[in-house]
Amino acid sequence: MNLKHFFKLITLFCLLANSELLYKNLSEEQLIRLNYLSDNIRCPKCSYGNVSSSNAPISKDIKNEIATLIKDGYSDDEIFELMKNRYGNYILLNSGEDKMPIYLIPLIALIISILAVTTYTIKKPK
Amino acid sequence: MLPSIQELVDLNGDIINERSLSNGKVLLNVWASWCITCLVEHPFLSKLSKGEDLIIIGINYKDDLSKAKNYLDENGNPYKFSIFDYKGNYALKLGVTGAPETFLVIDGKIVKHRIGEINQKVWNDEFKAFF
Repeated sequence: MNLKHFFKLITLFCLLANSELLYKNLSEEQLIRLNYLSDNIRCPKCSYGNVSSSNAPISKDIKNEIATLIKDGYSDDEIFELMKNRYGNYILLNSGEDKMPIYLIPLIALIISILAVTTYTIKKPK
Repeated sequence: MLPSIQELVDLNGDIINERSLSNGKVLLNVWASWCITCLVEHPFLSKLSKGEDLIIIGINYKDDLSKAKNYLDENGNPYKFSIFDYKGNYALKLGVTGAPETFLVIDGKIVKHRIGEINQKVWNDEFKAFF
């Protein structure tokens, strides 16, 4: 075994050991809920991105707290509500406030520019 | 509302009566010795503590006890007392995202939450109206 593989193994081992430490009291189903919740709760420090994708200490704290709440028998809705009361509505990534389909903007811009260009460049037949 | 949590202790290890947080106008300020911006706003807090009709209480956030005490010895102590929140549990329940942060609590109700430094301008713009 060369050195590279050895380090890969060590890293993998550390990751496994850590994840075990954090959420070992949760059942399979509860872990799925934990992932769902932390995917849909925004990291309050980073403005964009969810708790599960963030490395900020506050995100880890929130994820731990969600795990505790799940263990204490809170439902998903109750946890969302609690987080909303604590940090405000923007903490929910699917709060429904910004439903405006932002991905349509380039398309709309393209259509407007085509219209603008064609109206000014294509000469009308005399 | 303020979260309730058992066994809040101050930097001396004395248990804090929760009522002291919800009596009158209280400015809860999250600070730590590792926090540079806290040091920047510290003189302003000291100034505040002498003036307005207001109690300033600190939340010492994820800090080392001896470093926290040193910090207050070196820079002065504008706080009536500071909650020693070593793991950040109390702060987490309050909705703190880091330090410095400041809450204005009037009779147990949070009326203002400021993330980041407070200075004279921020005070005039956002806090003054409550006095």
